[in-house]
Amino acid sequence: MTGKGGVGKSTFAASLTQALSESDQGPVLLIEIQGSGRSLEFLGVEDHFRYESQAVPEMKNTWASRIMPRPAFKQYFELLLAMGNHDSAFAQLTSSIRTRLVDTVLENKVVSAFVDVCPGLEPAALLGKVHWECTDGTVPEHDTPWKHVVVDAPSTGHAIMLFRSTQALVDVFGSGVVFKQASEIMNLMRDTERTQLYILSTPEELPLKEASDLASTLKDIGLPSPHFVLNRRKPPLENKLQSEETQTLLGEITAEWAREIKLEMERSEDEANLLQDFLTRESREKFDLSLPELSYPSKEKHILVEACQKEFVNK
Amino acid sequence: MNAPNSKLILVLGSGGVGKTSVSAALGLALADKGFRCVVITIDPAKRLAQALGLEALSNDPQRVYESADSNPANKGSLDALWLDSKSAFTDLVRRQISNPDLAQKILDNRLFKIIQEQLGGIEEYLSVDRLLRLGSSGDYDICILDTPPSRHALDFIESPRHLLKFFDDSILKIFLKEEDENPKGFFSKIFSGTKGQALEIFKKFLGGKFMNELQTLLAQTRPVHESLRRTASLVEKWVQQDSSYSVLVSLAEQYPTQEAKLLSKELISHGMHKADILVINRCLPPELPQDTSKIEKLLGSASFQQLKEQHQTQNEIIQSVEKDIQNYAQNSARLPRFSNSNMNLSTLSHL
Repeated sequence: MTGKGGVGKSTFAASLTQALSESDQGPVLLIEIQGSGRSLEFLGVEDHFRYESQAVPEMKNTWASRIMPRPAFKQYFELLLAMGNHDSAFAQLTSSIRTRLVDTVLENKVVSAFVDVCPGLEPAALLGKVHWECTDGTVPEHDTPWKHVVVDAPSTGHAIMLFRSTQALVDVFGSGVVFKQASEIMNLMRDTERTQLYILSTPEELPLKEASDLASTLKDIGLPSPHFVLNRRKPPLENKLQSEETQTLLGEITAEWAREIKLEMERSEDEANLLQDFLTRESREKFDLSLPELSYPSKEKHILVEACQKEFVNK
Repeated sequence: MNAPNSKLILVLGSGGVGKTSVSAALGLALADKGFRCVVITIDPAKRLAQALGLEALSNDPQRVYESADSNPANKGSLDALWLDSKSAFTDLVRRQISNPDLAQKILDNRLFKIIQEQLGGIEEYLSVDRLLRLGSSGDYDICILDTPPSRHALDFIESPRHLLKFFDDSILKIFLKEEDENPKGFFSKIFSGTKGQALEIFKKFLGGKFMNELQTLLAQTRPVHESLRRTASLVEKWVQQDSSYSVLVSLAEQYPTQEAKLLSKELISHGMHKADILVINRCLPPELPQDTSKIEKLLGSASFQQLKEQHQTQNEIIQSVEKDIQNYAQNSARLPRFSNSNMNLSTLSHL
């Protein structure tokens, strides 16, 4: 899931994870890509800045992890070395020697600086880790593969970059292990049987605009058509400012609150128009899911979890 | 480019808190005090852009407002610049690379296209570059930067270094240098412990085609290194000056205030002083009236309930933030909500 910064992606990712977990279909993994740890925090994972997968407390069969470029790159590099050297001795080394070898290479000052800045490597490693969890990953210390992997992806610009750069590696390399791996990642992302994309937005001008731009960019990259999720929808409020009764009532309350009521009615009308424009632009009748505004999301998460159950998990 | 002599104000905050409107309102207020100000923004909401008279993207500042003072020496003004990062980037390459054929070759390089996106610092870098040029132009007393949305709000300060790291000869030249000797056995190299061998493995991993493209690109872009280095050091010095200010913008909501606290730590880690002020934007009036029945009647019960909850949350959050203000900024201020559908210069002046 992606969308403009601040629209509530992490909260939604965590809610969907919890909904999947409660549906008891099999092990669920939540991955936060380079995030602030917020979706893990929302699920009650205490050490939410730790890199390795952690069992989510009080939830059955549910794990969560944050992926960061450095450790992800290390795993990616090791994976590709093994891929490219099946017939060589590398693949036959014990895993501790392999790790030592990878460390030796990546700890080299020049290599390390290069990895930081080399185009395409970081995104491929981050998406590569997601891909690996989807194809080869299992519940820690078990061999059960994940049933669902929920990815709390970065916001719009950075999310597009992840896809575009990985695609660019396919184009630049043309052959070899990096090419092969990047192609596989893109194939998984394009597989509508396996991958669902969610774009979140709030009922505001800029997030809705970014959602549309994002959807059209994803289409250009050949990714499946996304689900649109509307977050923080307030109860509808009719603009009755023209009516005499409203004007009389407004005259009877303090000026500062009269102003607030006026703003609230205008805002609600404005919001309805923005949403209508968005749906027309996207040729849709409605959002795939509409979530209410919550004052304290962390205390009222059951509302979001139930909405995810109803609209996505049960369907 | 010379060191900037304008004062700098950074406006920081998470997405959607109203950074751009606060930046513009601040600019108008300072213009009324007789300062010549410029606001630099990357992606303003349409109505705000219209309110500021910014009809389209432009890489030149547009005059928004002039104060009424009759003495020209005391006349304050506000200019605004809506940075067009796509065309600005092309401009930047063309400005730095004097040979037009070469510039085109760079722009067409496939790796360069990835860099543009991946480094993610491009927008930030461009705003820094533009900011410095405005700050040293002598046309402005104060430059207000509406910080670009990014993974980390202060990425823009590091963006020149980030780009530089990529282009830096010391790292990449060593890496791309042709080895004289033939590589020997795979394992003897790894465990022999010399640096060149770790490099060798890594190069093999990336493959020849990729290395060639990269080498070509680096050779072509050599002329920009020096200018990147200079930009990096100028902006770092500028933000750390005592006369540079920072404004944190938040809402009276759980997550934006958490972000504001993190931002305040980031400022310190970038060698800047504590944020000057925390602005809590879009606040409802502090007290509900004694008798709320009329408000309920106006709004209907669902919206009234929502408003009441929002009001209570707001007051709880403001209270806890103000108690803990030393972890955010030197001061705090509340700003009221204002009409979004009726945004114009006078709304902004009121703010």
